[in-house]
Amino acid sequence: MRLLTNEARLFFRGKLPLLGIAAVLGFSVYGVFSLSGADPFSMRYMNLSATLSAMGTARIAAIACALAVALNALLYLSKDRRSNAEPLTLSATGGRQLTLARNMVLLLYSLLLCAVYAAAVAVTWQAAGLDFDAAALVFTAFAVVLPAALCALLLCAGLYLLTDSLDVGFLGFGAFFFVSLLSRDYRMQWIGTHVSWFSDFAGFSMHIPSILYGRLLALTGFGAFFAAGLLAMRHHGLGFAASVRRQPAKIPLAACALLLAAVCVGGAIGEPFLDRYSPLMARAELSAFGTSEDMDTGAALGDVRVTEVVSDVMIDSSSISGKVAYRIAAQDEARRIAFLLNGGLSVKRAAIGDREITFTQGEGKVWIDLPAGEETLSLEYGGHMKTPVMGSYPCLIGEDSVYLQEGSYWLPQPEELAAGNVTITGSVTLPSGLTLATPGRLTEKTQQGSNTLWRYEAQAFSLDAALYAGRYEISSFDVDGVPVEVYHSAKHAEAMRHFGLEDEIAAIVAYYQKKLGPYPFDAPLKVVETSLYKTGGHSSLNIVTAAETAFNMLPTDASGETLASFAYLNAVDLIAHEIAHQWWGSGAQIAGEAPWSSEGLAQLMANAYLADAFSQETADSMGLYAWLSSVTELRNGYFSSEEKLEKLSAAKRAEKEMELTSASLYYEMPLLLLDMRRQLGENAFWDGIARVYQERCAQAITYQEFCEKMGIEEGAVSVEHLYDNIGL
Amino acid sequence: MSIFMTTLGYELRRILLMKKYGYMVLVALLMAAYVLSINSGVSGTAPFSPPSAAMIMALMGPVWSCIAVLLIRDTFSEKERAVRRILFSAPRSTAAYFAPKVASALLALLLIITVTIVIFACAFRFTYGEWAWSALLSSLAYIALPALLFTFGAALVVGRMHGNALYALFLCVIALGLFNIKRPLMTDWFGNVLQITIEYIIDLRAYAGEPLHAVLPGDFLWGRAALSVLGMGMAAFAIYKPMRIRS
Repeated sequence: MRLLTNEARLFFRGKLPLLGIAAVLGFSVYGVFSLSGADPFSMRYMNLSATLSAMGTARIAAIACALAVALNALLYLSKDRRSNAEPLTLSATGGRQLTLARNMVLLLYSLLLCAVYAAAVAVTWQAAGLDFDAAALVFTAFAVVLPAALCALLLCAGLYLLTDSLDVGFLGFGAFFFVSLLSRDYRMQWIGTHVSWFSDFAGFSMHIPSILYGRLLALTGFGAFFAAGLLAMRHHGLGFAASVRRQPAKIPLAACALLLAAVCVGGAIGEPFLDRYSPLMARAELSAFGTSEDMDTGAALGDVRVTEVVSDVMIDSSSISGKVAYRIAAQDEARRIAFLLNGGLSVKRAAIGDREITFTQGEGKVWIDLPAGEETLSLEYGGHMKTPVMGSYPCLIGEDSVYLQEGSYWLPQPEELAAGNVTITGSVTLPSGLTLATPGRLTEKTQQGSNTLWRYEAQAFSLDAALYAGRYEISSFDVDGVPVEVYHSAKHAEAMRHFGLEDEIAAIVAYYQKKLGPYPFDAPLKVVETSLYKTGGHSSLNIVTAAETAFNMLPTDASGETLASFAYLNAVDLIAHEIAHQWWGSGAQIAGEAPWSSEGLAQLMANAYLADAFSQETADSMGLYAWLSSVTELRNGYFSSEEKLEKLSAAKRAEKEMELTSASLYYEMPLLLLDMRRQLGENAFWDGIARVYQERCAQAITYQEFCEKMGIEEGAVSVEHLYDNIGL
Repeated sequence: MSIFMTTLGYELRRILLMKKYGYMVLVALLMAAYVLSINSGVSGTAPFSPPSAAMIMALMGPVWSCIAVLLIRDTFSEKERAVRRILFSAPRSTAAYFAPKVASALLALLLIITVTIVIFACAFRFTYGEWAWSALLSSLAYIALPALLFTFGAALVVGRMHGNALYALFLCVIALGLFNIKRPLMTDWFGNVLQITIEYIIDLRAYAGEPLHAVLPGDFLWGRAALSVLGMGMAAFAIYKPMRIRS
């Protein structure tokens, strides 16, 4: 104890610990305002709040903490050797006790840095006039900043004791530091985290298990280093092997190092959060660092026809369980069909009619033998949802919000699903504080103890139903007979009013009704605010979503001017794009191969709205020029040919192909439509588009059929015409 | 001159035979492998195009700079300080003492850079059939070398002030090499601000494989020139400034 007190006194008298404290202080204050340096297209224009800034600040402070602890640990542990005093201190105190005491002091220092972070952030929030979010502060301090500091301590102390070299200690720390900050894999991120920001309204409880899991993995891995370091700690004048032999606790230490390493490797391999078998995996990876939108790649083209689905699910704060019954159209003969479901879910029971049947289950798939004829198949299933990618989540279940998009397969669906009308009815039971945006029409809402049961019914063209729940306020209004419901956080009501977002949504719906025809669903259009955990937007059935970046914009920019320009136009473009999917994608189905897609039509419609509501120049700057640039990249790009793509590894090739497909759907297709409009003339083009939509609503249409109906040859439409036309 | 060459040869051999140097080579190679695994071309250009090579150098620059700081650290270690007391008891210029040490550290660093560049070239040749020497060397010259010269100079000046302060510089290098604080391109030490902006700079409508200097923004190039001059200035200052030996 006396040794520890003396060492602590000596350590804290030094200048280096103070330098570390100053760095953490500075980085923490900078971190609170780091939103301004975030994604230039969205977050920098958001109203700052304590919750919103908490995670960004913690990630930055964690860097400072890791660096401060590493510097202090390596220099402090090596100080006797550097001043040639090692033999004296060893003879006076004994090497092991001294090393342990010094590591205890460094542990105290890590705790102090964590406290400095918390105090700096609390004071900065107060000074900046932000509300205090104690839960976010405590969680980030103990689950983000402190583990980063402890990892740095275990790593540096372990490396130094293992190699007996200060320089190798620094070099090793540098290598792990690089890996942590450059890696996209959450298991490698011991300084930063896979969650970049906390949502202003959707809570963060859903991220707690994965963040803690990642931190524990890192701590066990670096703990193994530390145990190995203690094992190999040099006796004065002895080398590595001789020191290990002289270590009295060599067997327990070796066992501890091996056990920790095995736990770390085993935990990394068998991690429980990623849905590795999801068909959405590649697409979600693309959306995580490429486009922030989900891609609609076309109507289902399988041959298993489902006519009716009844789904009853119960969602608690972290899991889902449910029962779903499918009415499957008559099959000519008995066959085995595969159902896709989320990798975290498992089927407990399957039955045909009332007869229980056996089934085969793999991760993300269930195989069922269906007899010939028309049958009702029911499945009981449940579990904890897994996500295909960390970052932009297609599914999240938390205490304050729930997103279950169709691509996450919360509702199992046949792999070979045929396109066709499906009646979906069902119920969702949720904790009472949450408001659910149901697919289709809400038919009943009943209080059941601490839960609420929401019943709904919907007519759909596929099984693409998504559920969104949160602590929402609902604003309802009517646009030319179409009921519209906007689900948004109460916190963002003022920002929405300031920018007239509801008026903009009404104007978009009115414009599309005028241009294309009536809204396709006999149910309200629901516009839902999603959190930062689901960036961009999404559309399925009668629900469209846009992230909180579009709902929570700053009323003024840094110069004090009203932000009516880029951020607002981006938000309007995003919402107009998603609402356009109600006509193209949810209404008329698009069948065929890229570039023909509902994405292209939605891009064109949103751009036409911008031209109508703002100006043609605005629309061109948001659309035409950006699309041309992307298509040029697509065509002139190195990987535009199959031969070049073959040079890539399978994973990289899949990634590149998704990138190319995305560019083709989002940018090439609207350009083809613009050329079509140029050739046909404004009136003929819009008359044709409206005619096609009205004829093909609730049916699929191919590009060939579309061109025929528009009265133009498929081969006559080309992006090159636009290049010529605008002089490129 | 012959004393200089003899000392240089001795110092170089000493560095190359250090276990620590082996670890440095290993870290550089691992980082090179990682960079190759994530490189699939900037803005649709080939992975071996000049803009893509610039991205590679922006990622490798901090790694090489860290190695440079640790190589310089040897010159200012406690052992060296003790030896200096003996050496400077006889009349001897500071430059005569530091020049071979700095030159040998520089040569050892150049060896690591050369090995890494050769690996990049071989990987490009094996995967895409192109050696891409010109893209690699020009991006090395425009992106990594100015950063390395500046780090080298700064390390010598910091080392002259206090040997252990080099470890703080080491941590500054890894932090600034990876952590993007919004700042003008002119002050972009390692080119990591360029990593973000190059996507906007390269427009394939206009880009037809021009060399890097024709594509990079003017203020960035001025910044590189300034970094190089400053780095060499600091190195010269540290080498030639007379040394006071404390008893």
